[in-house]
Amino acid sequence: MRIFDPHVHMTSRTTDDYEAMAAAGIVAVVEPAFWLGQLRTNVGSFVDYFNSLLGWERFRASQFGIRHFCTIGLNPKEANNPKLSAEVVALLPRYLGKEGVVAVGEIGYDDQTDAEETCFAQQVELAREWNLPVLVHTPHRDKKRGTLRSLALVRSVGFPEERVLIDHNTEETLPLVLETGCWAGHTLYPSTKMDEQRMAALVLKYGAERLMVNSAADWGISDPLKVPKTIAVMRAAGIGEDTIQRVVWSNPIAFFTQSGRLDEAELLQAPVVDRSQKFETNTVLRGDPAQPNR
Amino acid sequence: MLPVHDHLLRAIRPRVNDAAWTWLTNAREKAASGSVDDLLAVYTSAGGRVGRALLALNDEERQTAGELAPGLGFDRWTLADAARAVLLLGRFDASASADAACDAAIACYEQGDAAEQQSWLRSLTLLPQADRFTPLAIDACRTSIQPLFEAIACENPFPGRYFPEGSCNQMVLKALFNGVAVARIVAITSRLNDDLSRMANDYVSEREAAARSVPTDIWLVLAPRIDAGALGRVFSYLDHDDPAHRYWVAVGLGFRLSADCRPVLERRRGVETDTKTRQGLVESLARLDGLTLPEPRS
Repeated sequence: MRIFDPHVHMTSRTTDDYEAMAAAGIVAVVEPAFWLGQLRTNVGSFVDYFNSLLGWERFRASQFGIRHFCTIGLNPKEANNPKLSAEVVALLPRYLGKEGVVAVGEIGYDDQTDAEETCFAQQVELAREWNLPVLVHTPHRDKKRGTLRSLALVRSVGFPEERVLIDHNTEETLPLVLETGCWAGHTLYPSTKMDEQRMAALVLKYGAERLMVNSAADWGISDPLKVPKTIAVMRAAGIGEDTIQRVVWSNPIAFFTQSGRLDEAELLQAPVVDRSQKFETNTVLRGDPAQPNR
Repeated sequence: MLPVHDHLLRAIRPRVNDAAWTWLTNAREKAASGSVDDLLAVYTSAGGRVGRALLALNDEERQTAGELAPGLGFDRWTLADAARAVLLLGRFDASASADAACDAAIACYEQGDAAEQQSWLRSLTLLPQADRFTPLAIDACRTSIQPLFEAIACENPFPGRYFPEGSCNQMVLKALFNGVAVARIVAITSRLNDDLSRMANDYVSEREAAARSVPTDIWLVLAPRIDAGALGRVFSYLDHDDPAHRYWVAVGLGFRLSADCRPVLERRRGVETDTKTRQGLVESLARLDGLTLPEPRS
């Protein structure tokens, strides 16, 4: 089965992970811009980070036959430094027109402060201006209220709900999202957020419409193979192939195709992997030029 | 020199060798009157020079420290933490302008590694006009490095004294989320509020819906101000198999503004077999009678 992981932070993963993901059927990923585990102190580190998402990481994924897309935005944790956040938001238009950017994100609430709300609203407006969907992070703490506030903000500014993906849902927040026109993402982590059995139960209860699953794998304890592992559990729970296919492939594609920068037909073509290629002059991949194709 | 500055110096002296003491004496001079770069250099070096052993105050020293710096817990302080505090205090003493000393202190935080930032956060309430550092202290709570989070959240009177309600509530939730004992937050019971209890209650709902365990000490912040309508669940945990749940429900209910829970506490006191929980029940009934007792401990 072809798999699309709509939220995975590949920058913090190894080439072994890329190998394993490709072998497990992952064809395409979306890497949302987020923080680096600690707060950045100047706008220049955002410039380099966004550039690496659009340049080096995209190339690195391609060397394993995986299509890499990204979302660009100021994450809520770093929205609380007023000077820096203004500089980063001002920088975003430089990136939102680029090929490979399929949404504004991840944006939303973390501590649910006024500063976070301002940046969230500003970036929803940027998404409207650039005709992009938005990927909304929901907070770890006070999640239900944070989800309700996110849905309320989207509605209050009149942003089209079918272009909004609310992520990191739980049993309590999913029905709130499904009452609106927004899409609902679920992050499967080894010990926090959602797990495979609970996810299968949610699909059995609510069906596949507007549901997605992702691994979010980053530099914390996480697993970039959580989507294929969830497929196995959904099958064991008796969920049909068509339903599973919608959750792990058709839904993320339908959502991100709204950016105008993702084409399912192109994803279906077998990728050409040439490890003799270099990114600019970088030879870090150390591929064997004698056997360029897998 | 502030009395606490002097006290820390006296505590360091017998705990370091002569070479380290000589280094610290020179470093204090550089920190006080050198450039910001000089201060940064000695602030960094303190770890290697005076060592990272626990400060381990004796009873008498601890008592004096408690009087000079109310609420601040020194039990987890290292010699390096104490030396760095002394360096910063010296900078404030020698600076003609408090603004310049503040900027230099902020540089120590912003350019510090995790251990330096930990020292900095621990010493924060000792610095003059500490409230100016509130935005940085709130930022520090956003860390994913647990020891750093604990340096600001635990045994540190800063958040209780200076954090606005929203930031304080987020910090408490983060402590619960990360398994940090809520009773380690200094003066937590002076920062109870309706929204905090509501947030804690929503967190219990989320954990129960996911069939995951609930932090046993959540009741200390949940029970005091939760709507009477949600008390049923609180009471049910007073009969939980795990005595840690029973203890914290018993303690948390003692901080309610009305005595609506008295019959339930009395009933439980009649059947409770766990000694610590019994004690918690007795104390809570006394609190509801208006008695002032020390802050609960984990």
